[in-house]
Amino acid sequence: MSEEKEKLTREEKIEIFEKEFLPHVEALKTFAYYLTYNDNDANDLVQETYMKAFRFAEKFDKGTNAKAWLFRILKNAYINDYRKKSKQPDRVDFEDVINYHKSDDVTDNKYLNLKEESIEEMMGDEITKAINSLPPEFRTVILLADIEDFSYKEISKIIGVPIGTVRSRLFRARNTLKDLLKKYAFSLGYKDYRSGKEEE
Amino acid sequence: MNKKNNTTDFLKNVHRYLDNALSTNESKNFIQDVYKNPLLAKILNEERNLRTTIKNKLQRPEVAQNLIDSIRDNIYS
Repeated sequence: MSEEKEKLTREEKIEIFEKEFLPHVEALKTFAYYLTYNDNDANDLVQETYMKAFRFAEKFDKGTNAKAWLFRILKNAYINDYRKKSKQPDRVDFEDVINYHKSDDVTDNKYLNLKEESIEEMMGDEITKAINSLPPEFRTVILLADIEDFSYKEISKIIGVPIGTVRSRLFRARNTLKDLLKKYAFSLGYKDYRSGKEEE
Repeated sequence: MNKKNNTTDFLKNVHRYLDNALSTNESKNFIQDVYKNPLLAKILNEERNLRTTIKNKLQRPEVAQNLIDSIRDNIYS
């Protein structure tokens, strides 16, 4: 039986909005930007997220993780509204990606195998390009885990999949990202420090 | 267990360790393995550095004051 929540006054809702919701605007904007690839669309998505959060503020448990709650609203708004409106489906069908990256197995080349400085010296452009090249479902978990530090459990709630799926999706996403970064590093002239060979 | 499986398992544990998703005992065992093997230590270090680099260098879009104003306007109106 669900517990009836006390209705909030407008003043109480505004207080929650200012103190618990608004401080996460930068994180939400970054997430929205990497989902939409467009600054205006990201602003619209963030705006919509806040409108929904305010409207449904009663459903938020004060003092709990507002950031995770807002991210969940944003992710749902993106899937339910933005993607339909924009008529721009994700560039890669996730099932194709799942099939392509079916195996969790990795071989030795799945760690970077490059001089550490090569990745550290990469400009933000290369890192950003690599993140953008990831299939949307992979990009999402990387952003949630590695940029926003959400736990597996929180990510599971935000994107609505079991924790085991979060874990395996993250594992594959990180390996795919590493492959991309490795290619960028080679293109910048860095060598595989073990073989001493440059990738063509 | 073959080398490929060992590498896969170790990498999975690296991720879980850095994600704070291992139990206390699992973490302890994992760190003991890392101490015993310099290659494993190197892989762990590489993963940690990669995450730090990504976090620090990912370009974050600006949040214009007019976005915040516009959100407030819509809510307060």
